[in-house]
Amino acid sequence: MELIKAEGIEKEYEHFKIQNFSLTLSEGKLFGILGPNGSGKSTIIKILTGQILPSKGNIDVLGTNPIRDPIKTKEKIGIIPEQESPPSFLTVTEYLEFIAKVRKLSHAKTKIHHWLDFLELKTEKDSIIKNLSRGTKQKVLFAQAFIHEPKLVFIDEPLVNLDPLVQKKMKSFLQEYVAKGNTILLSTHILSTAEEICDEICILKNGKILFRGSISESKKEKKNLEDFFVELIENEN
Amino acid sequence: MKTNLLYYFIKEEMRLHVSLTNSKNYYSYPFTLICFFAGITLASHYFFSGLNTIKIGEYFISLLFVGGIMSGTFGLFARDFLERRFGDIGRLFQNSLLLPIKLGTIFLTAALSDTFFYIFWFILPVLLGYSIGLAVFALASFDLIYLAISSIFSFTTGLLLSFIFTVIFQRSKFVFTLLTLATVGFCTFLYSKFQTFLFFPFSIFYIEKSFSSFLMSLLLIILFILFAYLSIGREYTTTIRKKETRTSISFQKRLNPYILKDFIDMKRTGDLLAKPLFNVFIPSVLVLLLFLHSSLIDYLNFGILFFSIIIGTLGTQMLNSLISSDSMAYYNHLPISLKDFILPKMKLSLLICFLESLIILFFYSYYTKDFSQMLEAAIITLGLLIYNFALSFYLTGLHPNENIMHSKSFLLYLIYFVPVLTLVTFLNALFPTNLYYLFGFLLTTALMGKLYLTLGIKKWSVRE
Repeated sequence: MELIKAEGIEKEYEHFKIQNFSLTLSEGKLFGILGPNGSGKSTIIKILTGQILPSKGNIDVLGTNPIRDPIKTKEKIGIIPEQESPPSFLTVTEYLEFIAKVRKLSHAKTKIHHWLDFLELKTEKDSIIKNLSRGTKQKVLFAQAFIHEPKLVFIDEPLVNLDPLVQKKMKSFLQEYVAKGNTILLSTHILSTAEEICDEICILKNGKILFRGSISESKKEKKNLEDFFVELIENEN
Repeated sequence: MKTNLLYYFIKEEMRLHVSLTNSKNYYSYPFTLICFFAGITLASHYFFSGLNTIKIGEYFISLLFVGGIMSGTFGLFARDFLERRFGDIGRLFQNSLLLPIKLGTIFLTAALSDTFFYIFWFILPVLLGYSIGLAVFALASFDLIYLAISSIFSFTTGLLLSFIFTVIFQRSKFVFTLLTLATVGFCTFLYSKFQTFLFFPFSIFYIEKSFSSFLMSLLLIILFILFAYLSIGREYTTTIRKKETRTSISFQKRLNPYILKDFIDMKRTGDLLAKPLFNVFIPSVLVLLLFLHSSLIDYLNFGILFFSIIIGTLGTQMLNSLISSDSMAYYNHLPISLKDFILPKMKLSLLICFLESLIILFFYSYYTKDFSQMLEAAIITLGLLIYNFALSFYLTGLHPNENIMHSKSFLLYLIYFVPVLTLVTFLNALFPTNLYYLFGFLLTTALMGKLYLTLGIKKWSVRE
């Protein structure tokens, strides 16, 4: 079953444009969008989740249309944005309670408790978000994206700001989440992360897909993903 | 270095405004003000058959003092800006802690940049418009120079005072209370001595045109700058951080989660009282005191209705402050519509402003020993607040303080708001205390408010 079906997406900015971007993604995948800074990774995620509008193209996400009805799309998915700016003056618990209320979750207390426990946020649960470190804020954003157990989650730079221990834990969690039949689309420029956890990747440059395939396909020509990525990007220059 | 900082603060302010609409709309704003105030002066001269320019100057200076007080309240949230506690808005002010500049210098530069901005984008264009209006009737006089100087002094004094008070409010409620009581006591003493509220040196300078009062005004400003600098201290950002953790307020109750979130914001950014106090209550009371003790109240013959209009207009600052702080958080990743964001803020602001208006109207009625028009005034305030909140949102969206300083928004605001005020004034004169008229007015403003809200949501929901 296809969870994402995007065709002919175009978006133009002053310095770069996304040209004729198409993507289909079926369930049970951990899909990575890779690319150098400014290649359009975050823009693609924002377009697919209805946060910004494409100038052209059609999108279907879990049977909803993020161009026409972004709220409906956001109700069904989870998003971890690139920037960590949750409301400054709520505590961690209050923020998750707020999310639970916005998403009309049942058994919210149990779910919040689970996430505080899983992400080792118990000591910070009554801390105001403004006082948290970037890594802890990132953990809070992880919790808000998964608390309603969506079938599809979009993550913009998933492990940035997290310490190595939490990174390891989150990588395992993401793989287990996908193994249950859910799908994750993440964007990153940390190639080792993608190499380790993604089933499939696409490499973007200046809004154009240069490669799409599995990690093993990318390794056919080179020893590792990093060499493949560097050569691909440099050849495009 | 310091001059550079001020230059970049001002430049950044200009760029921010331009980025929100377009440069034509923004740079034409002072010209719009000039034309508008020239027109108002001409119309006033025509309707009131001659103007008392001295009195108008006095009111203008006093109102600018109140305006300065409203602008200087950034002492309340400057700390949060500095520590980047809000979202990633990326203003220079928020990054200045990274630079080798003293905290006091950063704050004062922000205050000075605000003063420069308001002088060139508001005070001088208004005065220029006024002088053009007077010149048509050959009424121009050298008073205008004095008026301009007094106005700048008045605004700067108000801004610095309010800045000092809000900084102290954030640092120590005890010192703030003591200082407020002392100020009220001192002002009462001066009032009893001079029998007027125009006892500030900048007012005396305008009235007497003496060099000594000019010098006094300047000294007062220097003194306040020094005091503001000292009140900020060297470790403003760390010493006031008292509690790292808070007891949770549960969202699991049946309360509207968005209203509850704004309530928490208000509680934790200024102990619940700061925003209502500095945005609406203090400015309204100052205007009330000013007009109670001047001849304008007899001149316009508005009475209690005048205060309904004042509170109904000033009330938007409460809504604006709730919008400004929360719009820096990131909600785009959540299934939250613009309506979910704005409507609870309107409801909470409406409740706060209405309660404040009841307190002020009660004391006004008590003072005049006439409660007969209190219900009427309360209903009119409520109607105006609803109408004004929705209109302000429709015209200025999520950047109310910035977007109102653009020609198009400003003109539309006048076009939509002034007729309502005129209508209230005339209907009140025709049907005083008529309940059918009052509830008709409330119903009409509520319906118009609903219309503006719907249009505003449609207008500002547009995605990039």
